[in-house]
Amino acid sequence: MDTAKIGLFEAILFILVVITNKIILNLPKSIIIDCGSSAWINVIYISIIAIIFTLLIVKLFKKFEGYDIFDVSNYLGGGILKKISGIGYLLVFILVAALVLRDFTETLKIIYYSNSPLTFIMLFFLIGCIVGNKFGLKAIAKANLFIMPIVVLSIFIIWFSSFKSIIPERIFPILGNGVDKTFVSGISNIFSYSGLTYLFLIMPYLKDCKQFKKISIISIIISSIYLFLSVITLILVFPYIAVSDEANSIYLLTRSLNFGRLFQRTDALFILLFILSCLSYLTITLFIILNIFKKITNIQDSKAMTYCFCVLILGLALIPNNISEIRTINYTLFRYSILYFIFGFSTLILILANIKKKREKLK
Amino acid sequence: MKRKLLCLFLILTLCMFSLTGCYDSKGIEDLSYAIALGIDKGENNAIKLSIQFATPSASGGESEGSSQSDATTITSIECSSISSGINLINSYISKQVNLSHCKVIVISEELAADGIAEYIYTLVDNVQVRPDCNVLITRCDAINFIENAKPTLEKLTARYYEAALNSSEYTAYTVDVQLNDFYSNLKSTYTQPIGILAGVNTNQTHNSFSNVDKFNIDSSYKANETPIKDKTNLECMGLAVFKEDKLIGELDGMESLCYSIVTNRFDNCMITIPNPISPSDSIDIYLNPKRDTKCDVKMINNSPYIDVKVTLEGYIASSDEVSNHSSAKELDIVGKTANNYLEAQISSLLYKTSKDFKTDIVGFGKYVVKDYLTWDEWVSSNWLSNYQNAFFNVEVSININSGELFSKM
Repeated sequence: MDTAKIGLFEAILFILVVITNKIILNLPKSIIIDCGSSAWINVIYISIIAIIFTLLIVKLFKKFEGYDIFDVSNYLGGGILKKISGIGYLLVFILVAALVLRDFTETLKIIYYSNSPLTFIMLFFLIGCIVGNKFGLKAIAKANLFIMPIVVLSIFIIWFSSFKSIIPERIFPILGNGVDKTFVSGISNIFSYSGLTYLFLIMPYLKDCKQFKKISIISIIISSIYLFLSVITLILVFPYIAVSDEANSIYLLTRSLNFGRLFQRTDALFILLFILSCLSYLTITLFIILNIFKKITNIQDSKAMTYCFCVLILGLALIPNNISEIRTINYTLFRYSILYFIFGFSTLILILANIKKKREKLK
Repeated sequence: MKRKLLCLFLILTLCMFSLTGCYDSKGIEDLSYAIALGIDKGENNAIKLSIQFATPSASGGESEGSSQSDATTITSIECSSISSGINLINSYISKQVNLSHCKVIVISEELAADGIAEYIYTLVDNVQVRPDCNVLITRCDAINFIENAKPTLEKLTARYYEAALNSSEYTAYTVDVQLNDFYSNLKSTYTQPIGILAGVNTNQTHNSFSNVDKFNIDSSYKANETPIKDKTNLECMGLAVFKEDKLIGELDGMESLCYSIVTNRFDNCMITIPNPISPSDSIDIYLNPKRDTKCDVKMINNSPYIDVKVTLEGYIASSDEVSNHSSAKELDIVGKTANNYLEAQISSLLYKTSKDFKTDIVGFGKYVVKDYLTWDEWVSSNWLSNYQNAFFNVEVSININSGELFSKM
């Protein structure tokens, strides 16, 4: 059994890997399509809500130190509720892994591997995930600790290097597609913070559970800044309509980067870093899938299931016919499954468990 | 033992995947790199596509160490679209066409007048085509332009294309228009695209130029009109003006210079103005920006009233026996003349874009968009159509300095 634990910095990067990959996989574009030039206001708005939500989760977990959402479900409703929430999370994470895998490999196929079969490219990622999971949490966390700072730095370099192409007037009209799209229906863009899902699961892996609050707040603030910078850069660099047409906005930014006459066509370097980032994200997701499965089935060694889940992810990833189907699933099924299941169902479990705890205390 | 077997399995699997990667690998010997793409109107089909390829140097030759020689070859085909043209060329030549080193996209004026959105979208969507390759609109056939690309001061044709447009930084007689700029402006709701005006300079084309006056002559040429004698006869001078995707006019060198000043896209340039001290003579002033040009747009009776404030630094570049350019009084007189001259030139350009071309190539729309709250409101204001009703107030302030090393006593 893998009893390794992770520290503060490793845990923050665990959560940051989600938003980083969302940004690489064109999350800012979906916000910009919804809100237009007011997407940056929408990001500030949803970021405030996400921070409040994070503080709420931290508060609700205070009485459940060292527990994850399944332990809390077990406490609240016994094995049945634990299994229900476990299956729910399992489905969400399998869906996430399949979508990320297919979306990223499709992008890679368009850019570099137009002649290679999709399955072939996908297998490279899955083999990487299997190897990572064979070595366990410590190896995954350390690899992520090595990859993520470089990837985050590279994305910052992309943003700052695009500075010369920025036209500040592109943030107008200030309300973009309207007040409703920005503040009312735009609230659904909170799904961008799907990294918050990890907050419900990460506690048992922490070396020091008392650092949970610090980890949650730091990671959500960094994620917010990160998302804000990516959205504002895209709005200011590309005219709004042009952004809406593009398959991968961050990649387009990398294509237009030139560092003098000496360093040109640096996009290949950035793509390499994006591959590493995606690999790290998929490995972490597979690790979580295996652990959820272990929790709900009580099997002793979940590693044996690695291949089964990889095949399942590969099979699911191959179902959509094209990239537009993946994007549709991402913006509809994934968006609402995150909203209702993670933000709604999990929080409800936590609230009810807190009420139960209070009552027990009173008794 | 189990662990060893697993490691062995993993190593073998990785080797299997990495080695199979070689079976369809493509090296540079399998590809033919295009350095220029020319598109003309076809006679028997929609377009005539011409591709200039870099010919790889023979090993151990003079140009050892470089993957290119100065030799290029041009293949041309009549086809219905760019992609089908490339496909047909692929079937004809021994290597696969690769556009990742394409430096320029050359489109003839004849085709540009009919609309080029289809070709621009196709090229932008092509992963191989770099967004920083230049868009040239030629006054002659695109194939003729490419055939005449024979650099004298550069060894490689590809580098020649890259360097030829650098002069816009210090002459401002044209603007560095890249594919992504063109595409962005094509999609924009507050500006319209421009292209680099190019041509092949010959004795015949020189005759097509009929000049205005002697002060404006040096900057009034368009591509292929400059009376220059050189082995290289390609010329990029002026701008091609578009309304949506259709070419509707041309700007000469001076107008391009004014465009660069208004859009804050110039580093330095030289202008020739009438000498206020000796009216029969001219005086050259070397200009560079002092502050960014400020533009303000007000809507008066639903017509745009556009204020343009230009602030420049000027150095007198020409000298004679009589003038004393170190005298403050004389500098003041020259400054006022230069201000009036440039105000007239910039106003003329802006009115030309508004009243003649009816297209906002400067992008004044971006100064109005802040007055609208939502995207729908902005789009329904129809800025690009309303631009033809615009009025301009241009103020130029040039701080003139003496550029002399030797002052008059």
